[in-house]
Amino acid sequence: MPTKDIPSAQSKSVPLSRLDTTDDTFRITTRTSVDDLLASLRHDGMLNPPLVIGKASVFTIVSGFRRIAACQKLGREDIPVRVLHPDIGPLKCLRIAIADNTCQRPLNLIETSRALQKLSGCLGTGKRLAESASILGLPSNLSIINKIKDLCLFPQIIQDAILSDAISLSTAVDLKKLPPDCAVAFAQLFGEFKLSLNKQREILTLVKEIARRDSISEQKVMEDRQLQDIIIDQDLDRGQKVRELRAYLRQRRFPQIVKAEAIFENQRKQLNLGNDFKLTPPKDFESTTYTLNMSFSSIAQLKALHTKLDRMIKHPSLKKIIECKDN
Amino acid sequence: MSIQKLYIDRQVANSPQVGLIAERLGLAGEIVPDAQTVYDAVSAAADPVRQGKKVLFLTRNKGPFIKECPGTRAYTCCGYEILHIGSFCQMDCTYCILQSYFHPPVLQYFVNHNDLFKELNAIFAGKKIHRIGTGEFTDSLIWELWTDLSTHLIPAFAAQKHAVLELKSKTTAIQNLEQLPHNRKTITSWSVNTPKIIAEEERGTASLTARLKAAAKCESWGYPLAFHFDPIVLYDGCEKDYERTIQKIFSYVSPDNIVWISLGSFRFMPALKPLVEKRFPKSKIVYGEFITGLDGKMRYFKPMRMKIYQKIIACIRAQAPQTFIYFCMEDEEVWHKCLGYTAPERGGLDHLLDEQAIKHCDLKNG
Repeated sequence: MPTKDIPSAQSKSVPLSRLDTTDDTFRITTRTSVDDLLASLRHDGMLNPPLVIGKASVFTIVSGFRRIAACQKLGREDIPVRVLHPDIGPLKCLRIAIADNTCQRPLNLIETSRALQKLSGCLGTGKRLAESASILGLPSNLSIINKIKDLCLFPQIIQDAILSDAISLSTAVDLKKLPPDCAVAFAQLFGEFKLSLNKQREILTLVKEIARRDSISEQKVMEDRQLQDIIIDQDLDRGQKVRELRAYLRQRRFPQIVKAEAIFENQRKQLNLGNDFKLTPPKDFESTTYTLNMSFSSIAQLKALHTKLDRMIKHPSLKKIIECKDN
Repeated sequence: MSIQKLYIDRQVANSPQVGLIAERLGLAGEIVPDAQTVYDAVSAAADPVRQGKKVLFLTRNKGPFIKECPGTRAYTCCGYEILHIGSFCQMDCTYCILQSYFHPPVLQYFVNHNDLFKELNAIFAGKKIHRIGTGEFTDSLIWELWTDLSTHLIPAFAAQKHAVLELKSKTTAIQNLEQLPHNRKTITSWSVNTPKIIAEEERGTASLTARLKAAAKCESWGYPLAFHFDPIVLYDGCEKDYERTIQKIFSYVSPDNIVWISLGSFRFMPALKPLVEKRFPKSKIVYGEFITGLDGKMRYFKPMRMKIYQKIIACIRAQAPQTFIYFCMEDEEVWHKCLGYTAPERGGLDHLLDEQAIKHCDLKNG
């Protein structure tokens, strides 16, 4: 462990009451459960004492927050710690705290964010931060750093959604641009519906673009009655809600395109093609080429399709489709 | 946006053009070994696109001066040839494709005019009709303040019979054109739009009225005219606004002197959208009902494009039934449904435009 190489650390036993467990200055970990540590502490004791720093009666915890919490849970009164020399500056303490975590396990996004956020408080947001981050095993690309470092400032519900993989880094970066209340609403929605990254992006983009086009806030778009009715509809399962939500937003964002699709669909139904034919319009109705697929397994079947095809060619709905009369 | 810094490519430092431009700008140029030095300086800015408008890089065109218009096969192209005099622009239109076309975009002007005229003379010596314009990679007239290019180009075109020059602009920088012998071989043309779009999306450009006054002046000096409704932008009330714009055009100029009017709806490479969102957060133009066109560019849903085209065409035809109208990058369905014919039915758009050039500019074919 890197902390073993700190010559100025002095090992001693201190009362737990002298450790300030409310001071999160150097807390990197997001884990709060200590159950996995209890058995080890009971049987083997404290193998790697926490690092603390402080001059007076109260010590600030630098690393070992969970070990200290576990000792509290076990009802211990004293705890072995290593006390750092009071002259060690906050940056050094922070580096020790980060290294203590990164050397044990890969950090999750919020822990990485905390580490970068705290480091940036000492080093700014430029080259020095990137160099320090690299040494400590954190992302060193400044563009990535900038994407990650503010995640830990999000409302807790969004941080939880990130930790549970309900929202991705890319979605989180987009949420950063929204007012906190609106970002929370999205996080709740994505968490509840367990949407894939692509669907999260699609919904965010649709809402953002509707808001900008109509000069309203994203929050206002989200508060729309019809949208809320879909979210709270008891008769729909999760998949149905997601489909309806996306369809509603798409209709609001692209009303003419959706209308044309509906007209096409209506005319296609009139053709009564059944399962024998599949008529596909040109993508976005941009080109003029329609595709018709059919499948058969005998000449008799093909002849039957031929008759049906003739009927289809004469059907007024086909003419309407091709000439886009109703568009 | 005014030029704040002048860079001079070492290779052209002794060109007489360079001294003239530096003097007119009132700037002492910094001689640089290559373009990369300029690109690096521009790229380092917080907004490289904006920065690229504040510097002028005088250099030589190492490639051909005359290029084919970068049209695509999926849509009908006009077959215009580009005279590549320089690139980028000082004005700052939201939708400008040049923002994402050059990496980074830098206002640069080519001073090796011996090479330029060598290529032009080769074209003039041929028998084929050529329609050549300078307004594809830049605005044709922004250079008038610092260079004397038009005083050389316009007389050069005037002295031959097979090519026409089109100067396309959103400015009113026409002062140098008055006394030049043009022999109707130069078409002065303007991109036009509704006053709302000009005010909201075309920063630093001349107003519609100013553009039309400039067009009327050019007409009075004998120049043939052209107008380009491009990009046509859809918004609530746009139809009425385009109608008023058309009426206004014909209150300033005569339909008989208009060589052509082109129509093109707003289209853009997908890469432009984030740039517009970042540089112009108040603009709504990228939030229309766009689909991905057959050329990969975003364009309005076709029925919406056709609807506005039909309105604009009806309005132009009411004022100027004989004026030739064409589409910039549209397919045959749009031509047929909006103009009543397709370009191939009448020999192709190239041929149709050549005919207009022959008619209005006294060109000789063959």
